[in-house]
Amino acid sequence: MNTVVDLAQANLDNAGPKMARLGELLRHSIDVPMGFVVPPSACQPGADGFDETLAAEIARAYRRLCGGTDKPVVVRSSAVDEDGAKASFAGIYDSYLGVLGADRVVEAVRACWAGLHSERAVAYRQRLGAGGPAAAMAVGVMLMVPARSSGVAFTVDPVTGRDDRLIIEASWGFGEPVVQGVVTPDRIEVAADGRVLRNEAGDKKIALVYGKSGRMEHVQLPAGRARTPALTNDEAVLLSERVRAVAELAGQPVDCEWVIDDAGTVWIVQWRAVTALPAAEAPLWDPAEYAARYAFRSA
Amino acid sequence: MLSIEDFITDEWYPGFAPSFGHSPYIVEPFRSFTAADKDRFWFLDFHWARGLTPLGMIWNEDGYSWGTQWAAEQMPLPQGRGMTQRIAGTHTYAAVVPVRNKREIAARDKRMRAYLPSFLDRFDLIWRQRRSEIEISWQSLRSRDVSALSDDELAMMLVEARTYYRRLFEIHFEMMYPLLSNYLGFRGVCRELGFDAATVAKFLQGYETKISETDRALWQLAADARSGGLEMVFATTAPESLAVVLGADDAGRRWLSRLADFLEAYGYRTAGTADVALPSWIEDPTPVLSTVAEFLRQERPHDFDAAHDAAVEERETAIDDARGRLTRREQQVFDAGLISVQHANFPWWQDDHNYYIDLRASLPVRWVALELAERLGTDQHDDTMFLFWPELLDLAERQRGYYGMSKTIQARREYFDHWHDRRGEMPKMLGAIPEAIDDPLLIEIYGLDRGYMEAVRAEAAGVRVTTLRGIPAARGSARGRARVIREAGDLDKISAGEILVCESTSASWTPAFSWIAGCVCDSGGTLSHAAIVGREYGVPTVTACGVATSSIQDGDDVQVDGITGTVTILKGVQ
Repeated sequence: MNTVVDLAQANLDNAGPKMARLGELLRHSIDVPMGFVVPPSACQPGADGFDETLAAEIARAYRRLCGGTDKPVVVRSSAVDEDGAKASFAGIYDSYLGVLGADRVVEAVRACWAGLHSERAVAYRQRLGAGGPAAAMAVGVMLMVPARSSGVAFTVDPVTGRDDRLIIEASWGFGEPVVQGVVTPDRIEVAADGRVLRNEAGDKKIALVYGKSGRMEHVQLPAGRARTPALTNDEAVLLSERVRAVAELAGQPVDCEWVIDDAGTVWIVQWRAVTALPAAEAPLWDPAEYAARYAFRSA
Repeated sequence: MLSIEDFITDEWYPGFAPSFGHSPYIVEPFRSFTAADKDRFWFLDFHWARGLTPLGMIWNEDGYSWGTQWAAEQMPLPQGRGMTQRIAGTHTYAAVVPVRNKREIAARDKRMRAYLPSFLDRFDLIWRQRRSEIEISWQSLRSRDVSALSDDELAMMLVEARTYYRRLFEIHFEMMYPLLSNYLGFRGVCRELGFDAATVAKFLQGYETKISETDRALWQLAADARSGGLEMVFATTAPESLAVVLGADDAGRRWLSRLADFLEAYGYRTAGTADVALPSWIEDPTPVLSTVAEFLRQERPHDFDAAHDAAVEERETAIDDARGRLTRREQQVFDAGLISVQHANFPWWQDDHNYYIDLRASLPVRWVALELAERLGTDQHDDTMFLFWPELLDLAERQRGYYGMSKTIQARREYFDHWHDRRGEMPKMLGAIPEAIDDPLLIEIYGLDRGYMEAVRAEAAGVRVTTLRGIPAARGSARGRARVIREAGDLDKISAGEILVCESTSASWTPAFSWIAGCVCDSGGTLSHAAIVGREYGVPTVTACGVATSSIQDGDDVQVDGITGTVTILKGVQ
């Protein structure tokens, strides 16, 4: 019996929202790392042991994914009620990077399920008035792209709500330090017509990398590297085209996590729709308003 | 360290109890310091570094108090009622008159929003109308031969001249407030778009004004002297004696007649702003002669066209670069704002209006006052500069006699000289000094930004610096000997390649920018005179250093960096 689902076949029923979205990209030929999903129906959060059949299936799927030699993968939670209209649950459920070997993959899947009952998750749900733990969770297992640079991208400026540009935040290595706010990332802005309006280097002192030891590790970068742009303008433009394709598919503004490998290939590793903020009215010249704001401070 | 208490006194210019109530005012009159002033913030105004004579005090009454307060009600300024002044010795301190009531601020804000857009749209027409008004009154006053007037006519002209003076400054601030506000609005938007203040100033440089027209004519005079073979004469004769020496031969006389033509067109101008105590160039052409002498010492004449073209090119490049960094929607806002500020161009107006207002408003009052001195038989020809307005008017209307006043005038001259010499020790700020100034207009015009406040506070605390920081007003870098100059009349003390260090410059200082290597000012923002002219002439300029005139000594070897806004004292004079 095949419980495990190939990422290309992932949908809301068999894979949870997060993995379903990635599946959709794959079906539209947008580069997403290959992978498979343990469906919500297989979820056993409270069980003592692990269903041996399922474990074997996961192991088989993993080996098939790796195509011969064991490769590090990313194991991600995809709870059924995540990324809904009301709440994103961002940072509530777990993801595991650099998981190597079938045994560890199975362990990671189990740990994801256990996350449904974590204090953090329970408290979050209670705050939302959603009651007890979520019904179920899918777990995605995807090949980990060796990230030269990674980060996030928004097709709407998250602060101002302007949709006339795409905002990219980039850093060296994997994207978690950017998402977690551990580094000051580069900030790149790309106009709708493809012009790079800004490529401001941040201070990327720390990078998350997959070390030779086979473990994820945080390394400190020297000052020169920290301030060198993690993306060239051309790469930024390429990335922006990809992200815009995702937004078009979604029919809404989106927020993507992306990775660029040493070959310069752009991969989307997560994405979701963002509720569009009210579009800032772009006033033409309104002297009284600007005078009030900047000359008199009476606005 | 002097504080406000040191200046609260009933003793003032000898022989005159300050009865400031004689002049009409709108919200708050000009007067001397009292204890009630302790809780307000007062700053030393850089325009009148010599100090004001008794008659010169009409500036504070009419120009500074009345003018700003009147204009503040026109737009109106939402949170301010203009400015008021106090006197310490002979030196002027100014403060903002605030509006405190929130409902009133809201009402004023509403009126401003109705007034400002249409003013800006019609700016061209309005300024032309005001200029016409000014020219008509000016021609009327100028056409009179004061020596031929009867005593009654002279008295009437005195009053008329003062009315003219006051009206000019109503116009001055009526124009300035909306122009400056629009500029600050545009600059605020530009900052939102990611451009710094120095860049924004470039967008508006490179427009010819009446003042640059004057400077070109001065250079032409120098060229005429050169082609007339008069270089040696200028090089070897003191400016005060030039007129006599030149009159001795044909070539010299030919040049002198060119000078007369020049003075007829451009000579109705004083070496300072609105100060009746200052002579015009026509009255005393020494400043013109020494400027021409300085120009002749230059190896190459200042190439106005090249400098102008460079300024225009820098402007256009800056605008293109700026637009290239914007999205299409942002470009629309930027373009619309740029058109607005170019059309109602504040930096241009800041320079241009000096010709019509600041540099000649005081002359009609001065002509009458000098004529009165003549008729009264005073000891020195300008003794009437040391009478207060009520006294002068009484004398003109023959309500009193002159008998016994010469001693008082002499005492007042000494008082003036005493305070003139003390200018260097006058505190830059008095009263309740805030951490930072919140008023964008104040910051922009006077340069009272954070850096300025810090520098002045540090100096008061005894910190001595060799590196000064200010606003990078005009880019470029220069190194040279510093000359600390207090008033425009002393500009002949600075030679080519030297660095001008002063409280601030004004229109009368412009010619010097064609020979100095750099300029460092205590005060002034990016739209101050030094900043505007520095950019036009390509002279590295740093303003708002706060402590330039107190830290740098005459003869110090200094380096001026107009890009970073730093001034370094490389070697102090021994």
